[in-house]
Amino acid sequence: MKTLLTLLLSAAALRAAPDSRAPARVAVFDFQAEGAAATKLGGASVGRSIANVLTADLSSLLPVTVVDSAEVRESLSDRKVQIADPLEPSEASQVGRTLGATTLVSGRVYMDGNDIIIAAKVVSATTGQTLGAMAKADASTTVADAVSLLGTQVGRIALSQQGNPDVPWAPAEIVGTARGKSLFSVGEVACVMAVDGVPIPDETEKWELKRALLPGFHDIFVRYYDGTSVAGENFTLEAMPGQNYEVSFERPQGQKPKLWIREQLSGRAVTPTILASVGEPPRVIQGRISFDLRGIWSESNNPTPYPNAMGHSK
Amino acid sequence: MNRDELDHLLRSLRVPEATEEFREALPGSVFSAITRGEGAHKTRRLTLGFAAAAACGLLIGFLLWHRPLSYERQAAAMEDGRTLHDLLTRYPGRLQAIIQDATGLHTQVSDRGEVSTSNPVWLEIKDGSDQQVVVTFSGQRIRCEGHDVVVLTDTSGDVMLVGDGFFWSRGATVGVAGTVQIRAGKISQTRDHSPVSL
Repeated sequence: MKTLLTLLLSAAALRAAPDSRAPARVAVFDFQAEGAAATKLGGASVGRSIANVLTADLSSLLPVTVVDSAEVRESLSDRKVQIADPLEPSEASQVGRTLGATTLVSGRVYMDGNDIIIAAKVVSATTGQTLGAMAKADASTTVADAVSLLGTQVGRIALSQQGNPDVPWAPAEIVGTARGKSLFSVGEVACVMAVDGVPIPDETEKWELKRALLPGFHDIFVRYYDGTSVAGENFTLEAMPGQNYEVSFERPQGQKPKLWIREQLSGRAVTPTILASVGEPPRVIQGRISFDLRGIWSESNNPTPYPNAMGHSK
Repeated sequence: MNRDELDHLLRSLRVPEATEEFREALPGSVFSAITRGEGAHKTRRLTLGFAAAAACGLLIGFLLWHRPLSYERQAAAMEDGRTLHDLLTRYPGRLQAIIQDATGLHTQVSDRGEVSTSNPVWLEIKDGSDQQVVVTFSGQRIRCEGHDVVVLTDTSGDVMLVGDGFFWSRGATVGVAGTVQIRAGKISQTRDHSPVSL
């Protein structure tokens, strides 16, 4: 009887105990860009574009969720939250309440020679604690990867500020596919030709080599080749941490090849299927900073809806 | 022998007569005795002079030695968090930054008592002979080389300074003059602080 009472009391105590782990919901404000950075990255809207891509990348980092970029802009149109302006805890709390966010992120983009530095300030709307994160795009790191790296740092800070344990977000992987390939025949190959504007050398021969993708959105240029004809198509892939993807194709007799990317394990398509044009060899726009995450990077388009972006009723 | 007998004996004795040689040598021996006395006096004065000079030298040396040591002690107290600990007690929730420069120790205090005091950091900024040590918190704004910059620490405690046209971290700098040297680090909040006189 005494044991039962103890168990009941313990259960009641557990239920009553406040949960120190709260979900992390991040609001990313438009970044500012230094003159040279804006010029190199494509104009004054680069800060907004970086915020869009960062928001999209953060939405891949479960259990982190994000506030929709448009909602962030609408809610605080009269007010700028900028990296160089200290945010007092009461102000952070007020902004957080308005947006339904636990974490507020602002940032700035700099040029250092040919390198691009992206710095972010991460403020807890709960405690006012302020931390920083920084990533650099250079000869070995694309802007997309730099934003992805920044995203994982911001995500970690957001989780820890809410009392959550660290999450090891592993890179995803992508690989090509081939059919009918033999010593005497090229067969049909669909492979990754470039990631975020960076071409992969000998991509057709190395179609089975797995390429690591940092969590977040990436521009994947896919190439199809059957020994005589060639086709190429660009996809925007949201690489979820630890997932394996493969390029898929289908070419009914006498028709154009259909290309898409799917999850390897489930076989589920994660991009639209595109009917690729056969003819001119596909050309990748060279340059590590000219990647185009359609609908996310471009200012003219509205951001694509992110899986974890939730509206907040005001 | 009684008193009268001793008196009688003394009265009967005669004063010894000075010889001729003694009379001739007397002025010389008196003069030489006087000269010897003056020399000893001079030596004593010289010795005292040397001692005073040595004492002054020691005092000046001590003062010169003590002055930079005190500055360095203060800088060390800034770096290890003792100064911060003391001033946090004095300005709870209001302390934004402590700055030590050539003119002394200054504090930057907020009117509102809600400064987030997590993640304290120290910075040493040198530009030629100009030097300042700053203790502040991640998220606070300070003045650095003519720029308003926000101090931020990342999850591993590395410090970055972010401002308009100015960025500094251990791995990258933008807009920082070549003559400027910056060192920075986080201050442990778990240290057992002994008081420091400010």
